[in-house]
Amino acid sequence: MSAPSQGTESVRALRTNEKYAQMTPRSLYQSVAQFHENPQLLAFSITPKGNLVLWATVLVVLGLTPYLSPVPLPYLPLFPLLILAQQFPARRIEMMGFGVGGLFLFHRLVQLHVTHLFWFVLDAALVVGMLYIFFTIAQSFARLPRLVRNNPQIFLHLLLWCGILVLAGLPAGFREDPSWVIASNLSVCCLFFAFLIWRIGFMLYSGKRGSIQKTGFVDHLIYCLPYLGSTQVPYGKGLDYLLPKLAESRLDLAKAQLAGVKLLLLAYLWRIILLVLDVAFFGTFGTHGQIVDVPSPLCLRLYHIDGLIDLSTQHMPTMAIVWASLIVDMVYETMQLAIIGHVIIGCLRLFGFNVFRNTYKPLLSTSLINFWNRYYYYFKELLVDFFFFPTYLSFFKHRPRLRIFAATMASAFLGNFYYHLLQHFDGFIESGEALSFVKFYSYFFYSFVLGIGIFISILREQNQRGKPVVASSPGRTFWVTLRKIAGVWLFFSMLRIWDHPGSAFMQDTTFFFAIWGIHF
Amino acid sequence: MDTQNRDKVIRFLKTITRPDLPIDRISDDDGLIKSGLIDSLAMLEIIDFLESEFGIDFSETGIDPVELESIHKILDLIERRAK
Repeated sequence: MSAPSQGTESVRALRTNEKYAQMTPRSLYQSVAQFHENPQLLAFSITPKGNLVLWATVLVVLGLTPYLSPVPLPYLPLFPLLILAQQFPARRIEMMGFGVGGLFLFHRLVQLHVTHLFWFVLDAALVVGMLYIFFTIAQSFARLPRLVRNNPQIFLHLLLWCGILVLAGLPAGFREDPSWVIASNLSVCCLFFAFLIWRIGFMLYSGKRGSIQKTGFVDHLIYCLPYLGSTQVPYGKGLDYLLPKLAESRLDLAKAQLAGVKLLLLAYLWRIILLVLDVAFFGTFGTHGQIVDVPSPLCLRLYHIDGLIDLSTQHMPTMAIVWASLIVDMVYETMQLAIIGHVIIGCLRLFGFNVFRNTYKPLLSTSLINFWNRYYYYFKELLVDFFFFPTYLSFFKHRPRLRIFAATMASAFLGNFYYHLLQHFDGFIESGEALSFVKFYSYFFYSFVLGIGIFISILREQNQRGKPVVASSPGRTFWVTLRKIAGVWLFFSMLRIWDHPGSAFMQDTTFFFAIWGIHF
Repeated sequence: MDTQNRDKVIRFLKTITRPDLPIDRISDDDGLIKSGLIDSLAMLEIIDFLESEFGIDFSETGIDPVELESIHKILDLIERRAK
C-alpha cells in the first residue's frame, strides 16, 4: 500500500509545485488575499482540527484588541458568545441579543459612572423598557395616526428634542448633585435615547414595512444594544438588513467566519502600517498615551491636521510640509477608520452575518461618490436611508437633476450636519459639556462643500454610465486612473481642514487661503 | 412570473449596467450590486424606472434596498405593487 500512496503524494506535490511555479505575482497575491474563499481551507475549517485552529486564531486576535488603537473596546468578552453561536446556530440571534446587549449595557453604564447596584439595574431596565415601548409602537405601526405613520422619523427626533430641552432646563452639574439623583438617572435614559436614535429609526422602518411582525423583541437587541460598534452609526444597519445576510448552512457560516478572521487580521496589518507612518512621518511611536518622540533625522516631521492648523497661527511650515501633512493625515485617518470598521464587521461575520465591510479600499476611489461609498459605508447608508431616499421619493419627481440635488444635499449636507450636532448633545447630556456651536460653523461649511462635491460627482458618474468603454493603451488608462485618484485625495485632504476636533471656521478658512499663498 | 415584465426590466438594466459585464452572465437571483453589474447610484435609476414604467409609488412605504437587490426581487416587487 505504501508504494502507490507515496507515488500519489509525489504526483500531488509535483502538481502543487507546478501550480505555484505557474503563479504570477498577481495571482499569488489574489490567492493570499482571498484565502477565505479557498475551498480547501473552507473544508478544513469545518473539521474538528480546523475549527480548533480557527478559534485559537480568533482568541489571539480578539485578545490583542486592547493594543489595536483606536479600537475603543476590548472584544475578548465576545469570545464565549461566538463559540456558543457556532454550537447553537438556531439560537444565535437570542444569544447575541442577550449577550452582546448585556455587555453593551454593562460597559456603557460603567462608563457613565452608574456603579450603585440599585441604579445600575434600574437604569438598565429603563433602557430596555424604552426600547420595548418603541418595539411595541413599531409593531402597531399601521394603527398609528396617519401624520405619525407618514413621518415616523420626524416624530422620533421631536421626542428626543423634547428630552434635550427638559435637560437643558435643569441646573448645571445636576448629574453630580446627590439631591438630583432621580433626574440624573432619568437623564441616562435620555442619553441612551440620543445614542440609539438611528437604530430605533431602523426599528420604525421595520414597522413601516411590516417585517417587524415576523420578529421578536430580543431579535432587535442585536443592533439596538450595540456592543459591536459602540457609536451612533449602526454598523450592519437594522434587522431587515442583517437577517437576510445570516449564514444558514455550516459551510456558509465557515465562509463568513473566515471572512471575519481576514478582516480582523487586516485591522492588525493597518495598525502596523500606522505605526510605520507614525515613526516615518509624525516622529512619534507608541499607543494609548505612552507615546515617545522619534529623533528627527529619522522622520519627516509632518503634522496631524489639528497640530498643523494650530502651528500655522504662529508660523507657517514650508508648503511642502503643509501639503504632505494634509495628504498623509488624510490617509492616516482613513486607515484608523478602517481598523475600527474591520474589527466590528469582522466580529459580525464571526457570528455569521455576511455583511459588507465598513471601509473598502477608499484610497483607490476614482470619484468623490465612490470614495464616500467606500470610506464609511454604514454612515453613508444611515444618511441614505434617513435623508436621501425620503427626500428623493417626496420631491421633484419630474425634475431628475433637481431631485438628485435635493436628495444629495439633504443627506451629505443637512443630514451629515444634523448627525454631528446630535453627537454634540450626547456630550452635553453625558458629561454636562457646555453647548458650544463654534466648531459647527466649520462643520456646516464642510458638509455643504461635501454635498456639492458629491452632487457633481453623481452627475458625472450618471453621464458615464452605459457608455461604451473607449479603448486606450494600458499606460494611458493607468495615468488617467492615477489622476482621478489624486483628485479624490486632494479634495478630501483639503476638505478635512474644516473637519477636525479643534475646528474653528475663521481659523480653518484663513489656513486654507494661506496654503494658496493668500494671507489676510 | 410575467415574462413581459421581465423583458422590460432586462431591457432597462442593459441601459444602466457596466458595458463590459453583460447582464446574461448573472442569474435572476444574483445580487445586482454584489455581482458588480451596477453601482449603488444605479439604484436611483431603477427607482425612476419602476415609478414611471409601473406606477409604483415609494413615497408611502419608503425604500427597502433589499427589494431591489436582484432581478427576481425587482420582478416580485412589480408583481405586488404595480398599478
